[in-house]
Amino acid sequence: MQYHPYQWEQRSQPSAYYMGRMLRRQSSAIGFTLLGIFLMMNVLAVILVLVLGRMGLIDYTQLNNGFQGIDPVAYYLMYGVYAGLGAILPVICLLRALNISLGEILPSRRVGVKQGALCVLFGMSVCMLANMMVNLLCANLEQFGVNTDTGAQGYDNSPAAIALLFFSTAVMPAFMEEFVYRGVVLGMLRRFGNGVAVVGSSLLFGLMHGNIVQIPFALIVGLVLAYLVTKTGSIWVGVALHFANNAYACLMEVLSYQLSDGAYMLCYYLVVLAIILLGIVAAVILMRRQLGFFVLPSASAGPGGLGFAAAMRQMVLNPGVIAFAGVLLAQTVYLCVS
Amino acid sequence: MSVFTAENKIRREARARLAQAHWSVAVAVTVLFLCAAAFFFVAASFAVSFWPNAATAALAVVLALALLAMLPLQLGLARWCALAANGEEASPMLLFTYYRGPAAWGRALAVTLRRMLWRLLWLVVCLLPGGALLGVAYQWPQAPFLQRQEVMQLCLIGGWVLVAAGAVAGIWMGLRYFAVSYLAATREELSPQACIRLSRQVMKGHKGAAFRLLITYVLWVASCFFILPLLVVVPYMGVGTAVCAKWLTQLWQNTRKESEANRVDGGER
Repeated sequence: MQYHPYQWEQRSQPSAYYMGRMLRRQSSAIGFTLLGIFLMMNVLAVILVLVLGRMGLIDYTQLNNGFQGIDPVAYYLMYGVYAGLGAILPVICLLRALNISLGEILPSRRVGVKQGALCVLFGMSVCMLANMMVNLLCANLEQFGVNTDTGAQGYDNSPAAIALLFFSTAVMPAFMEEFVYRGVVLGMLRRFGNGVAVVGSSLLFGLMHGNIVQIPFALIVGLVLAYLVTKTGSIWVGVALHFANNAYACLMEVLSYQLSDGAYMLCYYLVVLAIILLGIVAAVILMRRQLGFFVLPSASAGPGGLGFAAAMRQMVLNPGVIAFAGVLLAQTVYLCVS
Repeated sequence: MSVFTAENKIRREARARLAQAHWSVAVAVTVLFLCAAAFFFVAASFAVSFWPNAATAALAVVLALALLAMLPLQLGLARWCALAANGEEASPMLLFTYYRGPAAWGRALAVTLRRMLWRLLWLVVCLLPGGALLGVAYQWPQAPFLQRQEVMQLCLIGGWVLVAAGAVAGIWMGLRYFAVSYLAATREELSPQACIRLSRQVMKGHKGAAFRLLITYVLWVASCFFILPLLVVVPYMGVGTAVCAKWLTQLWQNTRKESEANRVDGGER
């Protein structure tokens, strides 16, 4: 008979205490990694601005042109470099440190085109709803003197700048942010329960945006993205929806400069109405195809009997997440009062 | 024992029922409902922006369409909440229950319109005395009996006190129709008028219970200032009120059975 010290027995299911500690430790590592991404992106941006300054690509008389005096094409290229490198490097360090392989955590199930398209349409209608909810929230906050203006970005009419605008706003974030938040963060948290993974990754995704307008918007969009990725088991659904949402925002920005006010408003209303209507129809079709489409499996309790509330406490109350939330919330408050 | 013991129990049961029906489904149902509301909100803005000369007419058309489409959806939401409160299987498709045919759609429209009208009517009736007094004080200050400063002040203060009391009384009387949605959603055989009548009977002597329950939700409703909590507060309040309506309906049925049994016993003796 095999000897077990202190009557220790091999358990098939880890205890709630053990799972709680594991979740706390992994969430802390995720929090520090996201903080690392934030810091690295800022450091890289400063370095690149210095390099561009040395190369004579910054016009110091045009610092208020919406591109900080940088040539628009160089600005978008710079953004692409620092956002890409800044996001990838800390995540690679995290995976190496915790000895996790991407294959274990990346949701990579194949999803049919029809199912994927329906999910994206439903997600887009939620994005439209989130836009309206955030507009209402801003109107409420402005009543109390909160500054919700996030500052206008510059616009350049050249084809190269428009193409790069699409690339840096629609294509790159769709891949980068989905890889980080729905790939790595969601994947790491899913072993502690789908509920905590969906809500936790959305909270972090919302906080990462760092301003009062985008935090609530990204929180809602993060919820729908994480839900759809969890439900379909494919990160590509998340990438497609993220791309569609950002491409819509880009397209509207370009149209606002290209069209007259009346034509732009007509276009805006018709597109929004069509998206919401198609989204509701898509949700109905999804529910008809799969009756439990909106049921998140094992949402109430994770493995080891770790309930949702207990898991959320462990996920949020740890040094990494507190540090990340503290820095991003401080930035948000600073932007509101400045 | 707390004054709100029963209400806390109701809210606890609502949370348990929502967990049973899955919170993700509850949020999805709310999102779909809000999406439909957002559609009509955008349509109304569109109407006003593009027909500024005929803004009132365009807005009226859109609002009428919104009312026709949204009221059955509202009863669909109430049906989802009622089935979740009863612990039955609650699919998000229940939201669209009343679009399955003209009869169901018409019934849903009639129930919700009647309930709204009755509530509005009571509110108007209760606000009338205060409103009339304030109206006279503000619109007709030259009236001979208002020439004395003290009388004018008394009119203004009295008017506002009556308006406040009228608002509370209006809400209180509106609670007669608290169980209408639950009854209409769970008992398909009842006509709209029967739902209203039954709700009045169910709520007789129990309006305080419903009022106390609504008070316990005040902080939740206040949190909706930040808009995002709507996604949780709408199903939470919906299922909470459905649980309360379920308890009150059962209580009324039991009381009726007892009184009938007593009558039969009395008759036999």
